[in-house]
Formats: sequence, C-alpha cells, structure tokens
Amino acid sequence: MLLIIVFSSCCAYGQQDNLSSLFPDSSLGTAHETVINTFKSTMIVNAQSNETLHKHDLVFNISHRFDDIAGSAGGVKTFFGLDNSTDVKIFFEYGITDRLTVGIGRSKGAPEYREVNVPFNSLTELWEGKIKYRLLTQTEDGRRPFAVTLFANAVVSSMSRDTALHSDANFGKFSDRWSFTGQVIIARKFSERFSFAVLPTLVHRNLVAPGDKSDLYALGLGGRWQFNRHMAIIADYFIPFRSEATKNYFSANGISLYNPLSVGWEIETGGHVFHIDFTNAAAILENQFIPYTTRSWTKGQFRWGFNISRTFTLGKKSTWKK
Amino acid sequence: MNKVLTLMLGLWAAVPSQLQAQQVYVSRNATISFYSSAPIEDIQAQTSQAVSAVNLATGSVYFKVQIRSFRFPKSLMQEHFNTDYMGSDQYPYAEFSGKLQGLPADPADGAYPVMVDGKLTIHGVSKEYKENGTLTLNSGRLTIVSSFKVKLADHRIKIPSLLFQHIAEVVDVKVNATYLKSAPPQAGTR
Repeated sequence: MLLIIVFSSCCAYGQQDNLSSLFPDSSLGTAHETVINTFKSTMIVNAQSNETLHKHDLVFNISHRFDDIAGSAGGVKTFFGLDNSTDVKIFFEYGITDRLTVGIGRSKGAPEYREVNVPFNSLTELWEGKIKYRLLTQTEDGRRPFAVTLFANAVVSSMSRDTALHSDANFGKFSDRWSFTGQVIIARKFSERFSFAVLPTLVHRNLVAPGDKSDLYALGLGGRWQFNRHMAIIADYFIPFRSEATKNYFSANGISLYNPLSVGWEIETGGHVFHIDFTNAAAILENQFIPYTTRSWTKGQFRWGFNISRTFTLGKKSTWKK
Repeated sequence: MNKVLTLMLGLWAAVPSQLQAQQVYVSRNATISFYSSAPIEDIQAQTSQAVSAVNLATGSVYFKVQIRSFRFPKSLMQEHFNTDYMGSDQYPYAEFSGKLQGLPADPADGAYPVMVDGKLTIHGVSKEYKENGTLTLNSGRLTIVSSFKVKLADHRIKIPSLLFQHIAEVVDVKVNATYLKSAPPQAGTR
C-alpha cells in the first residue's frame, strides 16, 4: 500500500517536469489558421489570382506584351516582335481591407491587327476600374480546402468613334463603349510548391459585331509551381464557351479564334514581383483576350511580355505594437 | 490503527509531491520580439502568444511559440518571413527546453541573475544555447527576462541573395514572460 502511494506520487511529479506536455499544439491557437501565399501576386499570368492586397498596401504594376515572335509579324525583321508592342497596361491596386482590393488601370488595348470584313475587336484606349473581394480563405487544417475570391471589372474605351458599318467601335451611345468581366476564382494551395485555380468567367461587351454575342462564358485554369524560394513557373489557360452560331459567324468571315495560353517565369524579390511571360494572347485585359485571341501558338504567333509589380505599404507603421 | 497509519503515510507521501507541483509556473502570453538591422529598413517583429513553463523545484524551463503568431509592422514582410525564411507551414513552432542555473533552492521574493542552458529549435534545426537572464519572484508572480542573439545560419535560415532588403545575419531576440503558479494537479492530491 505504502509502495503504491509513493510510486504514484513520484510519477505525478515526473509528469510535471515534462513541461512541454503542458502545451499541446492545439493549445496555441493553430486551429483554422489561414493559408497564405497561394499565389505571390494578384495576377497569375493573364488571369487573376485569388490574392488580394493587405490593408493599406498599394501596388503599382506595368505589363507589356510584344508582337509575335515568329509568323508574319515576327522573325528577324521585327527582332522577334520586340519592335512592336501589342498591348501595354499600367495599373494601381489598393487594399481597402485585407479582403477588399480596388484598382484602376489604363491599357492601350489590342485590336485585331489584320484587315477583316467585320471589325469585331476594334477597341483601344481602355480604362479599367476593378474590384476584388476575398470571400473565403483556405485553412491549414483542411476544414476549408480551398479559397474563393470574387473579381469584377468595368472597362470603358475613350477612343474616337469608328464610323465603319457594323464595327464594334461604332458607338451609338456612351454605354456602347463599356465592357465587363465577372469572375469567381476558386484556388487551392496543394503544397508549399503547388497552387491551382479554376476561374469561371463571364465577359460582357455592350456592343459587339453583328454575328457575335454580348455575353461570353469561359472557364479559366491557372497554376503556380514554385521551384525555389523565389522563383516559380506560372501558367493560365482560358476555354471560352462560344455558341455554334458565333463560331460559324467568325469562321465564315475568315477569323480563327484560339484559346489563350500563357506561361511565365515568376521572380519574387521582396516587394517586387517580376513575370516574364510567353503567351498567344495579344491583349492584357480579360475583356479582350478571352473573347478575341486570334493568334496561335502553333503558328509561332506567341510573344514575350513582362509584368512588374511593386508593393508600397502605406499603413501606419506604429499600429502593430500593442 | 492500521488505517490511520496508512492515511498518515499517504499524506506524507502526497505532500511533497503537491509542493513540487506548486513550483510549476505557467505563462500563456509570453512576449518574444526580435530585431535585425538592415540597410534600407530595420526588421522587427513581436508576439505575445508564446507559452512557457518553469519548474522551480527542478529548474526546468520550457518555451514554445507559433511562428505564424509573430506580427510585423508590414504585412508583406510578415508574409515573406513565414513563407520565404521560416517555412512556417513545415516548421510551425519554435521551442526551447533547458535548465535554469544559479537559482537558490527555495528562492524568496527578489530578482536573481540566472543562466539558462538548453536546446533551441527553430526552423526544424536545434542548437545548444547558454544565455543570461533575470528571474524575478514577487508574491507568487514570476517573471523571466532575457535577451540573446540568434545566428540565422545556425538554424539553416537562408538569406535570399535576390532580396532587395539584405538583413543582418544575427538577430537580437528578447523574451519577457510573466508566470502564475499552475493549479495543483489532481495527481498530487490523489
């Protein structure tokens, strides 16, 4: 009896000295920790990522697309497309809260470059306003296996009216200058190195060529594979769901449409994110490259481009210390 | 008579264990901060969510902190710290386990310079540390304050060469923990 008492008291004491057992992982508030850095910037290549900015962060971004590397517009004559640019975009984004990011941008626009019977993609001088809302975050414990972000933009063209009959730039009224994109970005960080996103998308253009439809649904796919701590391969692809009627309309007018595929190399240097991209999309805005990509990878009609983004922290720095 | 004797012996056996159990002090909001000077901008971060325990009877001391709990003045810096430097998905905690030295057997209220000797694990890499600190006892409240240096290379934390903000290879760490006596465990009074 005595032995039992002494024994039990000794062991109770022994357990006490194993101080780490006082603090199991679950006691340190790890539950539902959110996954961070599914992507390293708000863009994958041409597609949006699920990332929004931190509160009071400002991002300045410049994107540039050169002309076709090969094919009739490329080759040595144009120094593999570097003599020309198909599109240039400058934009600012600002984090109002950690979940809500707004932005404004201006892009040159990438109108159809060939002579066509039906001017179907004529808009230039594009001004974009956009809004992005982080609806759901992925959690480390797998309770919420993916993240959801909503994206919308409104784009207006300030170009002068094109008087050609049936042109999509033959603006009858101011609203004809507008187009819109709505998108749901569903993303998952599968591992430290690999993230993937699915982007159901609707592009609406108020004025389109006579045989085209204003609404175009598309599905975007995007991914990021990080091969060291600061570099990653990024890619995205869009599948537009055109009706047979519009497909026939375009092919009857000798216009081939392709699905935009973009591949890039991402370099992150703490505050700056650089993308060096290859894409068959001439345009940078969703409103243009999803419905109107007429250049094909297999014909050498892809280009190189770059995105440079710089983050500025504008929030008060003294607020972090309690 | 026999029962009384057993009871007395039982009490005698239980009392010291209860006393020792009461020598365990627990902190659930210990503050850990670090500072690194860098040419463009100094880098600093802080957490008040570290946990710690001290057993004055044995001198054992233990700290644990969740890497993700460190707060930076810039959120982007915090992101880089977690994903680029610390790999906090893979190594979510830093831990220290060691012994206090230089403490009297049954310390009265007052401040004592102490030496802490033990193993610090950061980024999944452990290293032995021997650091100075101050332990203060004040009517049941115990405080430990210490500051020491951590060399990033010792824990295989790499400074990316591409990073525009080069940071120092040695980081100053400060620890400040206030403890309360833990409730007597049931085992001691069984």
